[in-house]
Amino acid sequence: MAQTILPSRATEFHRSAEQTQGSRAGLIALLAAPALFVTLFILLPLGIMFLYSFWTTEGSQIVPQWTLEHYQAYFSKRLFYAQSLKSLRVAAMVTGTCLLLAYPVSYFIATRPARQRSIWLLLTTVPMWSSYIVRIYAWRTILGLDGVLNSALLSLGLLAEPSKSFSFNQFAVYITLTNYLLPFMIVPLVSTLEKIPPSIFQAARDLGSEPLDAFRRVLIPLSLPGVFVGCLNVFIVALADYLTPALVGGTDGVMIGNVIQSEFGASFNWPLGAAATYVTAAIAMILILTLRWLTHRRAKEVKF
Amino acid sequence: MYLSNTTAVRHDIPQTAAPPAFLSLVNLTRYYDATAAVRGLSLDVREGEYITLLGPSGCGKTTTLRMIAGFIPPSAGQILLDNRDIVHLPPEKRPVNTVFQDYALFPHLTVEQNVEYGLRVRGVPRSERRARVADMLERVQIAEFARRYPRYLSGGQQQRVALARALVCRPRLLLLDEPLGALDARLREQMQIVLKDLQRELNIAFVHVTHDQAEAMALADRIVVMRAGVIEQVDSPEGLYHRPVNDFVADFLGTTNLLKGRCVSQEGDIVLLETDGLRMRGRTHLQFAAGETLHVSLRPSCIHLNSSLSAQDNVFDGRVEGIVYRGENWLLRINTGAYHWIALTPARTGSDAGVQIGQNISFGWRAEDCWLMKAEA
Repeated sequence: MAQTILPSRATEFHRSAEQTQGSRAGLIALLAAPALFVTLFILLPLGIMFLYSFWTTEGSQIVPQWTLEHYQAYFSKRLFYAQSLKSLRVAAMVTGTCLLLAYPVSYFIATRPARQRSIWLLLTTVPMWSSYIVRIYAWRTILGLDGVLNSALLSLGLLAEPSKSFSFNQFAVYITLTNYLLPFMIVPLVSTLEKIPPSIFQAARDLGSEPLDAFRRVLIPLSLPGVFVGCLNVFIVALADYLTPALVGGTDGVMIGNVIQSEFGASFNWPLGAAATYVTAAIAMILILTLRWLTHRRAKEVKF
Repeated sequence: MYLSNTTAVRHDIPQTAAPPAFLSLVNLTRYYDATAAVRGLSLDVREGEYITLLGPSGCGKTTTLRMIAGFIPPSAGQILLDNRDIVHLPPEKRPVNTVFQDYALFPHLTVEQNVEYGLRVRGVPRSERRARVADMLERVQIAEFARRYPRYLSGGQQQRVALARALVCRPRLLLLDEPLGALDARLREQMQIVLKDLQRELNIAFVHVTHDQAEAMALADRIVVMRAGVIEQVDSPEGLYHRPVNDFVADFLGTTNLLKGRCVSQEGDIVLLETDGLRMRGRTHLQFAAGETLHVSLRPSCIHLNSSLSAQDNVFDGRVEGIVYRGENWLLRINTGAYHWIALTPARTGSDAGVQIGQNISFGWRAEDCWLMKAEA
């Protein structure tokens, strides 16, 4: 209905590309380099891994003998599917926490005057100036047995002896990943929220909404595309991460990333590792597409 | 008891027939840092009245509107609704709705849902909601777009949605912030008719901010002329146009011949004055002492050429220096040596202006059309 009135963006782009470039050939030449890069360094390795997941190992060799045994192994071994589910849960918790923490911060930043806004955004990225590994070790010194947190609680008399429940478990992984990924949520949220004209919120108030109601009925629906991008950033990285669980997770905090890594490493069962990778990725993809459907149902209409 | 507005305004149409005021702004003041955007503004709004706040940008008209809406707290002063101060009420608690300059439609809601918003938030039952929304969409003639999203509508259509969305709430007062600013001239005229008709049909008081004097005159029962945060004058469009209090108002309300003169003598409301060696008569409601400086405003349409000048009070000779055809009339520039006069003479089909450039003519005006004002320091 609407598309018949307005030409779609794709055709507009296409037309202007034709007009300025003169021919399709120019456009294709322009795209050749990135296409080659993507094919060589992303699609090809992924394709090889996909093939491996259906092949078998003989000694230290991977031979093209077709089998589904690795997928069967994945679903029959608790180590794998339980690990995947746990990782999805941790990633989801990290994503949810980041969203809850980032939203008010992003709203605050987005409603500052333009010049202050960029300073605040810069400040949120300050943690990213130091190496990821350095920050994981920082959390180890905070959460460890003789760490900052325990010493503080001891000296306040809240604990009689140092607690082991802060480190080398899921909790430590959750805290560290949340801290690490928060900026990845804030940046897309700010860029969505700052595009919403202040008058939209005022209009909601004017029409009888109290601040929270205006927030729920207007700001949240309008910021969903940013919520999606932020969640995608955080969820994918949290799910795939293996450094944090390796360094602060202990046995309790092991994630699917560590399991996969050990199949590619010590266990030397690349096909099994590849199968675990693809199953986890497929589950994540389903979750992401669902989230996208939820947040983008009306995105086509939203334009200020 | 309603506050008398004789303290608030300097010249006003007689109060006798006017409906009572229900909203009073009393000494409303708003500072931004050290500068006052609005200073000691007092104004009464009567039931069912169309008021325009008119002034150049930065005169405080939008700040005033936003204080009434509740988006900006005043630094001082009161906003009395039915004699109750509503300054501390948030926007959602005021029986006032706003049409925003950028329309501020909710992009994720259809036209229908946009208009329904205020009713839904206030918990109006579904059947009543539907009826009121349908009625309002019909009134502003956008019923056919009910299921569309705002981005697929033209500016004029979006404007109508914004209007319907505010009016469906049946506010005591509708605030309009430069609502026609983004529309082209033709559409603006159409929307002026829509606005005026709606306001009369629904009998809701409108306060409309604009910097366009033609728009203000076309719509308003009363125009409030503002400058630098204060009210210069409040009056009907005719009153402002022909009886401005000072040369700022005279000039802002449309082209006029402004002169500075000195009072020679006054007899009743007619003053004999002298300006650049010319002696003429003008009308005033003030008292001038002999020798006192005064300002003169003479509307171009009040100047008459040659023909029927005999009975008129001010007749001069001048040279035609410019002729511009403007469709409805001819605009003439006449030089009398010390001053260039702008005159308008009606254009009729098949005839020219009746004068040529370089021609010497006599022209003049009646004393009562020549309005005299206090010269300000």
